[in-house]
Amino acid sequence: MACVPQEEIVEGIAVQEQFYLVHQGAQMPVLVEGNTESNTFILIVHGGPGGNAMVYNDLLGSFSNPLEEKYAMVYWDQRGSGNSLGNYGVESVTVNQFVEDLDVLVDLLFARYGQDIQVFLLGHSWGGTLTAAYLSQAGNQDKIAGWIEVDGAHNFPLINETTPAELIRTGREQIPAGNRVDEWTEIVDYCENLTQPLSLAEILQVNRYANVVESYLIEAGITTQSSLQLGEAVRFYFFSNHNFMTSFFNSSMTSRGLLEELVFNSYSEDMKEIRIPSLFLWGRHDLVVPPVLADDAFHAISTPPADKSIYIFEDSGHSPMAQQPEEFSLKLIQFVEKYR
Amino acid sequence: MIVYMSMKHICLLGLALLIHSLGLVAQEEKIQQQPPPPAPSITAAYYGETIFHSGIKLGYERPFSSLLMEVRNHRYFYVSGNLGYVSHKTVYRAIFADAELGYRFFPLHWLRLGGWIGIGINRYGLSSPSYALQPNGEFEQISSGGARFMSSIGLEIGSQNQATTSFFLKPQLVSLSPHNTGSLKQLVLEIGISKPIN
Repeated sequence: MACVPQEEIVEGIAVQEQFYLVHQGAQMPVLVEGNTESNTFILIVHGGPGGNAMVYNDLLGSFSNPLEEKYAMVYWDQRGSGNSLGNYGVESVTVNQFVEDLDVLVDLLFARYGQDIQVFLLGHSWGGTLTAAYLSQAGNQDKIAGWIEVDGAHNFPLINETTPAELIRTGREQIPAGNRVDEWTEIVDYCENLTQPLSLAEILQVNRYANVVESYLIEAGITTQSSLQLGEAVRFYFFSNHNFMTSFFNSSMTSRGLLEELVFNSYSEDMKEIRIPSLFLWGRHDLVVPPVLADDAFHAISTPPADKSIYIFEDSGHSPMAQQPEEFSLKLIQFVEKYR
Repeated sequence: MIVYMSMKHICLLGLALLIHSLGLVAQEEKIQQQPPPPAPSITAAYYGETIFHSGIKLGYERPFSSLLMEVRNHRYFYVSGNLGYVSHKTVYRAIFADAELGYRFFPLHWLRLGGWIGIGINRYGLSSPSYALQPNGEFEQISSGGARFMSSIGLEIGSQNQATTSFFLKPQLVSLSPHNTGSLKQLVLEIGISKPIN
């Protein structure tokens, strides 16, 4: 196990510390913010692939600020994501490389903040895939106090099967109600003409539709407006340390690189190795990664029933931490308090 | 609808008249006052990567070659050599050196327009502490950064005054590679001054 770096370790109740993890050609920013004295660290594993960890901090404060008062939040831009820099080949854009990066980061947190800290993993969307893959590999879960999977894409074949069906079902409810009739008609027609298994192009189109309808469901009053405000987004992208051009180009490079490996893969079988406390948080109206994936994860892992649970956010889609932030933080705190 | 169409036509007519008037003014000014011959200049500019991540760029520019000058039409090739520094707080700091080739023309004696292409080297260092896992299983704080090839393409609009200081604005697209598995494009805005040195 790694030793503590020589640099002074920062402890406090309102710490804000940024450093880089340099590994296998990637220079990945890590921001630790909040209460490091708690010795409880929640590591956010962002979505994408190629997403951005700082969004969860800078743009979703109503979710992250209450957590930072109690715990240390760790915002990590994965390789080829957010503001990450570096120089490496496409052969390094694999799930296994991301798993290795995550493992090294967890070790760095222990090395930097002490062996007595507890690390919880929160994986959102693609972050759910990555954390599932990480925890399924031998020995990794021994370092982790608990796993929170949020609308996580750990089983793509199941998503590919369920999302078109959910789009058809929701569309058939929305069209008679007069909501976005033309758009829903196009989506329903498209999905009804699909045959399984889907091709890569069809998977991408279905994913696009599932993302687009998030705003239709908000318009229809089925899900709540995201707490993310336009003004905050403008400030974040143009007037903060964040560089939106870096983030944009990273995202397109990384998602393209991982796509083919991801979209036909399932980690459900491997997840039987997972035995740590786990919480599955899902938006009821998530069509990108439908809630059936929460049931799939719940049954796939070997954690005793008393130490695993599902909670569904009734007014949310794919990002409940943005749509029901207070309730989301509360559920997260309850879980962490139980197992820290 | 009728009112809207009428307004649209009036606007188009007004625009056409304005363009025509500018042409007349330009012609008249050309007759009255030709832009002075090009001269070497030094330049200093705010260099904003993604517009708001600030830096500075200093340079020297001069007409490229008398053979390539089209003096009669007041269109000139320029070359420039530049040194710069840019900082993204908590992300990285970079220094760069580049050479540019530009093409300028003068629609009015006080106005210059142009296009530039450039190549250079960009060397950056991370602004925050960096840690790497060593073969012995320990983490060490390291100095980390990288070197990138830099190429740029941009436009220029500026005032033209060969006797005193001129002002210019150059929006550019800068490509930096290698960056992760490919190249990184940055929008850059330069706002600066140039001063003739002879």
